[in-house]
Amino acid sequence: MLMGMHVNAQTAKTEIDSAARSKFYISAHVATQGVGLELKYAPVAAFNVRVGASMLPFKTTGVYSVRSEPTDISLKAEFSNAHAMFDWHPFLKEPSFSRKIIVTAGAAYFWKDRGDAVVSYRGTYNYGDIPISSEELGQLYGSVRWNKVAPYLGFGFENAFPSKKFNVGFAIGTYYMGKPDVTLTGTKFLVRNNSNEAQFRENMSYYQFLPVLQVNFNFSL
Amino acid sequence: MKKFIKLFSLILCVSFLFNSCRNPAYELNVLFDADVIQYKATLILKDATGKTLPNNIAVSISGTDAAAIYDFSGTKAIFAPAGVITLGVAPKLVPVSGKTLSFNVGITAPGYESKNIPVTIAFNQFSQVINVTMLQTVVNTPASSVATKDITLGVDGKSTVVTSFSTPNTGTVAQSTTITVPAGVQFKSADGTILTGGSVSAQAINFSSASPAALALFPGGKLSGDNVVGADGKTGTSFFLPAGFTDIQMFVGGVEVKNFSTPIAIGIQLDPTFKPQGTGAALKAGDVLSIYSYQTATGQFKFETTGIVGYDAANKLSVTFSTNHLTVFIVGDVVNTTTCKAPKVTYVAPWLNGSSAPLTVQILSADGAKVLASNTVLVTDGKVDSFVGLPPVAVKYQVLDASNTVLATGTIADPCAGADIVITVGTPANPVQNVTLQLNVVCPGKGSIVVPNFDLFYKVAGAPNSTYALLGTAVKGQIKTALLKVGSSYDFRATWKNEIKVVNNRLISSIDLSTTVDQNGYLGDKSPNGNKALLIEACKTQ
Repeated sequence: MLMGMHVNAQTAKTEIDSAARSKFYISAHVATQGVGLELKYAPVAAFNVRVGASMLPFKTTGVYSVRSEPTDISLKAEFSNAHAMFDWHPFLKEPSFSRKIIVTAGAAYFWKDRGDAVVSYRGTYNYGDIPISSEELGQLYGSVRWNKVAPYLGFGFENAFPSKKFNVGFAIGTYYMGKPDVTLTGTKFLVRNNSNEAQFRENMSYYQFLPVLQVNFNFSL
Repeated sequence: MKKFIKLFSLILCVSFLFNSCRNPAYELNVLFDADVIQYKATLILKDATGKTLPNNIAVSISGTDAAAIYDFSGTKAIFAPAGVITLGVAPKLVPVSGKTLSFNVGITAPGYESKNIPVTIAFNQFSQVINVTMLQTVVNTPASSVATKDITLGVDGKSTVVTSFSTPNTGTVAQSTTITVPAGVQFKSADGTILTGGSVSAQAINFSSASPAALALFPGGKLSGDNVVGADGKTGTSFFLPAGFTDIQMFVGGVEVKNFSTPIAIGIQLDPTFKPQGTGAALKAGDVLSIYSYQTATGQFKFETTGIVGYDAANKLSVTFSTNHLTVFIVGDVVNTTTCKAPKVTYVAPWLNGSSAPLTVQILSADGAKVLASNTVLVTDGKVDSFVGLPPVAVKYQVLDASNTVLATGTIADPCAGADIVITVGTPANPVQNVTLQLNVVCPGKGSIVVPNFDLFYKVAGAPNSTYALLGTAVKGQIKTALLKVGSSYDFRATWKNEIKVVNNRLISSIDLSTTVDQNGYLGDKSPNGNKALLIEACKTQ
């Protein structure tokens, strides 16, 4: 993956001097954290400041097995944040491709940072000869909430001296979201699964990072 | 530069690994609540003489709401391990307000009278216990006496001579039934076929209606009937006040006789302490009583005729009548209860402190002389129940514990008026300990599971099996009871499907006992290997 980005990033040419370059950009991005817009200000070639927002409305359904039980799982994730990032071109004086490398640090405020899952038994459960439909069995509701404020660290590839009005950049990094708050509740015949909440919380405690793969479409102003 | 890229690649890979190295569903075990069946009825079968019941008891369900009824394990096949039938209502077909479920439980066992037990399950009547007394057809009991007789048949299937036989008077059964079969009678099967053979095997069982034990032997196991065809031909519910009843059966070559070509005569001696509803005075010659028949197969009572009380040859009050069919015959008063509204009963027993105790609730005649109904009620503090099927006459009630100590008593002016009744159950004399038993089960490969509900029986360690009594229903593996004492040892028996599990000589070492059964842990003291196999098999269905 990193090698692929490397190849893409090499396609851009950067041949203008720093005095002639634009200092303001508007940028649209598509990322694993959602789609969004940013305003970028580059007072000097080596440093950028970016502020923007991203939104990720995500819904999916699928069939999974929880232990040996076939289940339908409906997932809904919403991540919406406003963020501020600082980019640094540490190798700007290097003649090679490495001059395009940026190191990014920042933070985001997530006004939406939740994941919800609804799990239901797939098919008909038989208690002896008594068929119990999925609706009658009930559902499991899982909910995960992360910290509102999350720091970010990453790096990317971007031309500090774009020759054209439009250029493309890439970023890869991660937000540190912290240990999430987790709830797991069951209804009807699944109500006893509340006892699974501790295990679910333990499982989700491994999900403290929100990885970001981002493609930026920059327009100089 | 290369070091930088390596460093960041490492950081990011680690972050991705953090997000993928643990499946969110890791070690999650979807637990289905075993409390699938909310409404249950437990029928506890006992031999009238205390004998051990056979294993091959056959159980069938019939009637209006039979489709809703399953074995408590969820199967349509109904089991009776150790004489315990536990029935449940399918979740989708549970009773609702204004809609009571009605069905019949047919019970047959070799050598025993067949039983047809009508059961009703009302809205919010989540649990009930029905005691069923099984009667061996040729054995006298304290409340019944039996006579058998062979009646010689001619080649044309006709009785050759007048044959008369009577049930014996015993030390506890003072009345008898006399059957007189004239000469020339032909015997027919249920489909009307005239039966031929060398002889008719006849038997009659006379019940002492004065005996409290006879109550359990009355058709259906109680004096109320919900399928009664009255003298006006209408079907409804009624309450029987029997002065005498008898069960007569005849067989030709193993085929049951149902009808006769010409009537036979039946004389039933009556309980002299019986007081007809019409007079309220002691029974006397000239009183008129109703005669009803009862068909075990259908569970239906039917008005046959009336009989005038007179004195028979033994100078005992009796009613004699003729009939062209065989069945159970009941002589006495019958009170229509079709329009009755059952009173709601609330038990107040704070001393139970969250525990349950099976108590006997008896309904007595106003003078306390006769037991009209007797039920085992699994009482908890605040339990709401109802007195169903009682007659519209003043009655007394009393609540007894296992040692027959009266814990509550009172009167009901009109049990058909539907008035609310609050019964405050007195604290037993012995100190009450609320012992909690908790069973946890860990299934191989599945982790902890919810234990299906089951009825638990107990007896003092080493006592005869006939003394097993209901301890209560373990809900989600837990039972809290006021019947056990810390420091005492008991034998426990649980039934599930067609299986019986016994734990003998278990000391109640503390007020809270918790046991976890695990394939790799505790599997019992007596037969761990057998229990392990049982656990693995049972876990397959979880």
